[in-house]
Amino acid sequence: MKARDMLSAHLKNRLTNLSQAKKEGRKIIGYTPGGYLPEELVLASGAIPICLIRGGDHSMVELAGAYICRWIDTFCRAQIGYGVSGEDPYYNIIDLLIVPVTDNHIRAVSDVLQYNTNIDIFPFGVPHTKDNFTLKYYLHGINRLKNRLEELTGVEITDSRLRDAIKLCNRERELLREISLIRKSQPSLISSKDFVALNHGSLIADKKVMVEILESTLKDLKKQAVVSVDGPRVLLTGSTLALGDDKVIDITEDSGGLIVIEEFAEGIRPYWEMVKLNSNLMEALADCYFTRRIPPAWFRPGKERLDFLIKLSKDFNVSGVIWYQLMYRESYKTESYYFPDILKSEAGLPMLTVESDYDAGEVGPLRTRIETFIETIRR
Amino acid sequence: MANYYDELLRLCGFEDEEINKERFRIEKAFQRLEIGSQDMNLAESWIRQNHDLELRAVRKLLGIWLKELIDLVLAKDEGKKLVYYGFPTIAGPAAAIASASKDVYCVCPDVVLCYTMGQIFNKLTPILEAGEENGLPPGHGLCSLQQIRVGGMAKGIIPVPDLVLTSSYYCDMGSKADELLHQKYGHPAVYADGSMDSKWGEFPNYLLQRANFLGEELEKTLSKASEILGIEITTEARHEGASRSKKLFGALRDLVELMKGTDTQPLSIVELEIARRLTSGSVSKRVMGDGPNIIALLNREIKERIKKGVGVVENGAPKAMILMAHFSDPSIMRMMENSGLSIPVTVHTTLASRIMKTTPFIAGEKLAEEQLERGPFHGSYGEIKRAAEAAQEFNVDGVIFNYLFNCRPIAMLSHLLKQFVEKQTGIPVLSLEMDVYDSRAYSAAALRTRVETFADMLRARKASSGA
Amino acid sequence: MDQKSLIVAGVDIGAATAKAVILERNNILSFSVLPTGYSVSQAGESVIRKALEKATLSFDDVQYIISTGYGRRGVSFSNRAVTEIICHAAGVSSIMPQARTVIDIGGQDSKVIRLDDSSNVINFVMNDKCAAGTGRFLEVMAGVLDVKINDMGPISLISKDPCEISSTCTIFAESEVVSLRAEGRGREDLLGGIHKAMSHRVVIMGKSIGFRKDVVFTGGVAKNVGIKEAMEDEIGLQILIPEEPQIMGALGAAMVAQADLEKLEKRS
Repeated sequence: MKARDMLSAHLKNRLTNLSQAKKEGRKIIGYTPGGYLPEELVLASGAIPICLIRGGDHSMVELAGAYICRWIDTFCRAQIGYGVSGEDPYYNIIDLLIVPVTDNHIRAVSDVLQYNTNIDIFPFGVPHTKDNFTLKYYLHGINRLKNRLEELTGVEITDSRLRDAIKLCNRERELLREISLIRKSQPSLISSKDFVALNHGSLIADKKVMVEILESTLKDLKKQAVVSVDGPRVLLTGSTLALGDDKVIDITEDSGGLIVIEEFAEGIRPYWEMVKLNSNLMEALADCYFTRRIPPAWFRPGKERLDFLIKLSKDFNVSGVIWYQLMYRESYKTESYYFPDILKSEAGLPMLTVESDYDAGEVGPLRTRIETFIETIRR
Repeated sequence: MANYYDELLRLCGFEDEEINKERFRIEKAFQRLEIGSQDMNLAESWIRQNHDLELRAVRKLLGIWLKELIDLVLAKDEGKKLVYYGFPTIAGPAAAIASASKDVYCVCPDVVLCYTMGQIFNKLTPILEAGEENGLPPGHGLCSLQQIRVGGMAKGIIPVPDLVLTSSYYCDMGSKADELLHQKYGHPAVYADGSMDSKWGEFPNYLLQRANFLGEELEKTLSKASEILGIEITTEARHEGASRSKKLFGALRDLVELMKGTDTQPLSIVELEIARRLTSGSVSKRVMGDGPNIIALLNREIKERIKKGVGVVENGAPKAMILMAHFSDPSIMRMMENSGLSIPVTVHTTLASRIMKTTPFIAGEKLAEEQLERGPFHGSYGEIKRAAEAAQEFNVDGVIFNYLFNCRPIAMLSHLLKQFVEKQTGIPVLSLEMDVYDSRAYSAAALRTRVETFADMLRARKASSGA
Repeated sequence: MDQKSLIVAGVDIGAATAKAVILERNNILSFSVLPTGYSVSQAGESVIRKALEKATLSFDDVQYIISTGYGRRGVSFSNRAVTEIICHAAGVSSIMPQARTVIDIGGQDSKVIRLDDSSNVINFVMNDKCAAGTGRFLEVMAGVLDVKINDMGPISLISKDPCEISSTCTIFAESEVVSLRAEGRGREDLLGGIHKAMSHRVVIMGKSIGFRKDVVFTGGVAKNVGIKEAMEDEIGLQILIPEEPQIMGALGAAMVAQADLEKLEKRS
């Protein structure tokens, strides 16, 4: 697929491009994943947003052991490892690291890196409940962020610049959504692995290039002939799907499972909602990113997301759910206890829970569990 | 009639008339708690071994906790409206609710279970195991305090409440556990949310909007509680709740000052914390009313000891401060004191003793400010800075940072706090991984080598600096 | 005899082995090593008896005894029990006073200890919960590769391309090594990887308190030249090993006994 090659080539050269852009005076803004950072603000200030979404490598997690104890989410410990080791060139190139503080694990990344490195970190709070006061606080946070970005770049984030950025980001979301919806009726056209690669790509690539790639991908998909395919349909959900953490998708697809839809707090760009171009753009951003967005498990209560998973399961006609989470992310662990009963009673579907600490030795046991699950839902 | 519990209750400060009057309730509660005569015998030797029963106030304090346990277990039987609040406490709103209506019983059930089933009966394990089997399994670093709550409800030991007040602004686990319980039992939950997004070094400053946000959330919990319980929470009730709390914290402050002012350690940290943790457990009339009087009695008894030069550790022992005391297993701190360390106070208790000087729990915003100024709820830096200040204020020789491995806000400081406090103050810090609610994996035996080594280190330091 | 004897003893009851050292005025008269076995108190009695035999002394000749190690509280005949961290530091600094960091890797735990210029312990970290990074890890791997424990270190040094062992858990690592072996990887490379992985666990643990020279390696695993070199590579400092690394705890206990006795004499 031509688009896939375009993306690979672009990502291969990304660091070179970023270095070049930096030389030209542009700012590179890193941010922790979770989907609560309105990239529009970064783009409108003329800076380049880069999501720090790499994971899967246990050596980074081990390195973090010299800075924090073991009992923190694996992906977050990996970020600490990347940040303190200087092993991740993206951490080295950013001028600012924005941390939308969602749960305590992400907060740990922020605190440990603030103490142990010279990285300039800007935390702002993402509340865990949806009411008037929490929305107000989130809005206050992104306004503070706006000021910080203007200060850093020397560029005023005018309504017109912000409007253009919103249109661009909306377009990206829209395309991802369309591609995602195609998998409802024709899942064989694009594998989960490829769709996730598009997501990951979108978190790092130049926005305009990414939109082109997505448009090209969509065009190609629409042209392709429909092929009916066998294989149990699966919804894959969980806490973090990092770039470099392929094992669960690989094993599932190797076992003949068809992952038709993914729902993750970190690693999959939220693409179901568009920013409405209201008169007050900051409020519009808060409305899309906070209010209308399906929240991750660290929102309480978590009913909205669980209801959404039921809806997705039914809409995408899945035969089973695989819940994949990383160790010690307690919000997900707790929900994984009572959700299977709800899933069973409301959708008649089974669920497999698997966990990872990014340890290579897990692959064998994971394979056993996933293969068995796929076999049982095949009938 | 063989009253197998009389002796234990007497050891816990119950007067004979109290026992006689309450027999029916006591027996009913013990039945539900599955406490028989065998357990009583074990409990008697457990408290004789681990508690300073010589002090009348200590016996009375154990008794207060037991009385709260009985009230908790029987609350629904006795037609009370039952409100559970979350720890870290939002005791402020709970105190206002408790003052608003005498039919409402506001309690933190897991803390009460720790101080009774743990400290008195040493029989917390079945409850923890029930928690593990009903949603919070081992091996995932899940909070054991929540395991106790879940297990207690699963075993039918503690009733399903009419309302849960959850503080959603510190840890993520408490609110999710309450959600799990809501899912199973259907009772309503109100979340007081907040955000810990301070920058490193920001403390003691904080954004006005952050205090406003938390304040509004706390007010929200009061209005929702009022709606759900069908009671009116008047301004008078708020004032009354605040002034009761003030009395209790005032008595606590006097106690802490006494411990600060003497070179000997007249009271074990185990007993100090039994007094201090009352507010984390319940805001009942008994706790708020009798509590201060008993602490005042304790203060008098301690003053006597100080006069006579009586200490629970040998004179000249190096002084150490720990972050917080073990809630359910007194043998852990006993082991620490027995390794030759004087532990006059905990970091969290010094923080608690500061509040209520000027800040009444009247309005949400005031409570929010107090929470932010206290340190831990401000952020990592706030917690660490306060620990450094406390160590210096109490002029300790060392700090044992006993971080709860399964409490994310505290565990994330495992390396940070030691590095910062040592650099800032020059005081040695032992970073000791622990679980302050459950001592199965982190027992006194398991922790002994590290603690004894640290005690040896401090002794050597003290000897060489004195020479 | 006019001169009061200053013969003291240190007894170190570890999970795998018990050690005893008989000391007189800083001179080691004798030492012994025995498997701990089932009973801690019996192990203590046996090992001190053996050391006394070697020195042709009787139990009454010993003025003061300190016990250390995981079983230290089960030694009824000792005057005092002192932790193995304090004792390892005392033992090492008695023969290598320039030591500022002690790395002790035993059968079931590992520690890194920092000393100041007066040889006082100023910082320490300890792992006693996880088998990886302890002698147990090597035992398991010796079984998998059918190699003698004493041969593991020298063979690992031959490796030119050590395997990447990425599992941190001993159980998982065992499976990983079995797979790599099945893929045809050679013994030296497997051992090279195993030694690197183990050293890495210990070094990461120690990193939070830092390594300062001279770095001394003690405990049963110190005899393994492969671990020594792997740690040297990672820390970037030379690592010294005492002649009898396994008895440093018992020696240190004996040194503490000596100091205790001297203090008592001064008082009387």
